[in-house]
Amino acid sequence: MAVQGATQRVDENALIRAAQRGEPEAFEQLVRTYDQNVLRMAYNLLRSQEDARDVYQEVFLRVYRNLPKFRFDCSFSTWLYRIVANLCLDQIRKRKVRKEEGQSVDTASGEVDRFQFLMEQRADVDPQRQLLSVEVNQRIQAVLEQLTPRERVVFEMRHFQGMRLRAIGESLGVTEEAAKNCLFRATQKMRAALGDFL
Amino acid sequence: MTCHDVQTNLSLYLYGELDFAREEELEQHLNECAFCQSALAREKGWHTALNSERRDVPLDLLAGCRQSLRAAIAAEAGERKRTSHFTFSWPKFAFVTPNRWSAQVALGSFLVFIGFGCARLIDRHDLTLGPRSGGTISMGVLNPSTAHIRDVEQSGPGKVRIVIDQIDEQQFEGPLDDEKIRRLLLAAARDSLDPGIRVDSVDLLKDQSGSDIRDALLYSVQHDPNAGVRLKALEGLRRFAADTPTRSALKVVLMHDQSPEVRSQAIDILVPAHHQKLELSPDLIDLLRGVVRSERQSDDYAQARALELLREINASVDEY
Repeated sequence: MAVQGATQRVDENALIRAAQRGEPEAFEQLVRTYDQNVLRMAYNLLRSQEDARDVYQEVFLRVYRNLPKFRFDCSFSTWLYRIVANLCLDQIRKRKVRKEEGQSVDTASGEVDRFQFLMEQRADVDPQRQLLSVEVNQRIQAVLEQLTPRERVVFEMRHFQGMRLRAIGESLGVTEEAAKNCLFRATQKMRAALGDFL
Repeated sequence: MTCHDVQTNLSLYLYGELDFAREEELEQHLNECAFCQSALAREKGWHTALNSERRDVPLDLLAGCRQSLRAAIAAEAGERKRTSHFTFSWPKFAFVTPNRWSAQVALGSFLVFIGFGCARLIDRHDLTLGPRSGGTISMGVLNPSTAHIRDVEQSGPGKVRIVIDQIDEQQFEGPLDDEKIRRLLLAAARDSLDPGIRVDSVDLLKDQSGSDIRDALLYSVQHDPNAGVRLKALEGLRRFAADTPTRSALKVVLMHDQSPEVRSQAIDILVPAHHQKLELSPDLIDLLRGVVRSERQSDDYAQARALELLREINASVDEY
């Protein structure tokens, strides 16, 4: 596994160097290596297709503009996730301040959670997901809303993206210990809201 | 380590983020404390519930994002070309003074490299002058399901450049125990977007031996969004029913899976049909009580079966 990881790193470095030389295919391949994870993270953090699309575009445009300056001081993924995390944090903070977007939309059957509404509109939605009880879903949404923006991002990166705390700390520009404390607080809130409920 | 310490650190434990000494202490406590064991089960429960709440990115959103990004980058690249002041000056590079021999060596190496590179490129892509033997695409040949035209631009007077993204289909055939086939099936069981492919892959893998197979089945039964795939994985896990990781996963599935069929199968694997006196471990009894008390439909087979098993060992439903 270690050999495979090292080989992947070498391949990726070659790809980055090719992209730095201005080879569009290399840049596109680099984007395709990470873009699904980036979009998934933005989509689940921001819970809005439009915002996720904006973050996606801004992330990879910044990568494109700044790639020539990338000096391999850290791994490419750390650098990339630093951009993603900062943009998502900005969006979440803006939202918290402006409250520009309500969490619910009006439908014929009353007020429905915005994200649930989007899910139901999708033709390709997995029927299994629809079976998830509305109550559990509401409880999860409520507790996610209670997390601070940084707790939300750390929790997303650890629980859903499977990133190690060290990498999360590097991406957020904080120590591993600080990231751990952040995750600890987030899981305490989750447990308090969901532990006895499920 | 106290119960409070253990319970506040359960998530970090599940994430594998505790240091070695603390993890050892916690596991030692867990081995001896039924209360904390059930707390661990609850902790795993909400972790699993969060995973099932996870939203997949709509495919059209990803496609739209890629298209917009491509357009934005093309625009930026065009802008760069127009404003670029950087020109490569051959004279500066070529006319090195004799005492800068290292630069001369570098120039020589560079030219040799270019020579070899061009030769390889011509060889690999058949870039010979005149009509190409295999690379041209005539009208109607492009298969829309495997290829699409990414870009069309005028490349000179009377010339056009067309860029095609094409998926190259590859086929692999071989015995199920072939390492490559096995790796591909494991990847398909986990990563394919098509639940039909996942269910077929799990079906083919489930009778193979190896801990990687068990791990793949455990992953599918806990994380696959499709109930059919989870049921297929459960079939394969029957033969691993005595293993601790399998039993832990089955307990989570029994408590939290949304599909009654999956829960029914899980309870039957955990406590198979028997003809002798039934003996159940305390944590399993607790789990069965949890199943009976859960707010599901009363006609749920798993709930009825759990009640039947508790009665068989004369255990009450409410007793802790």
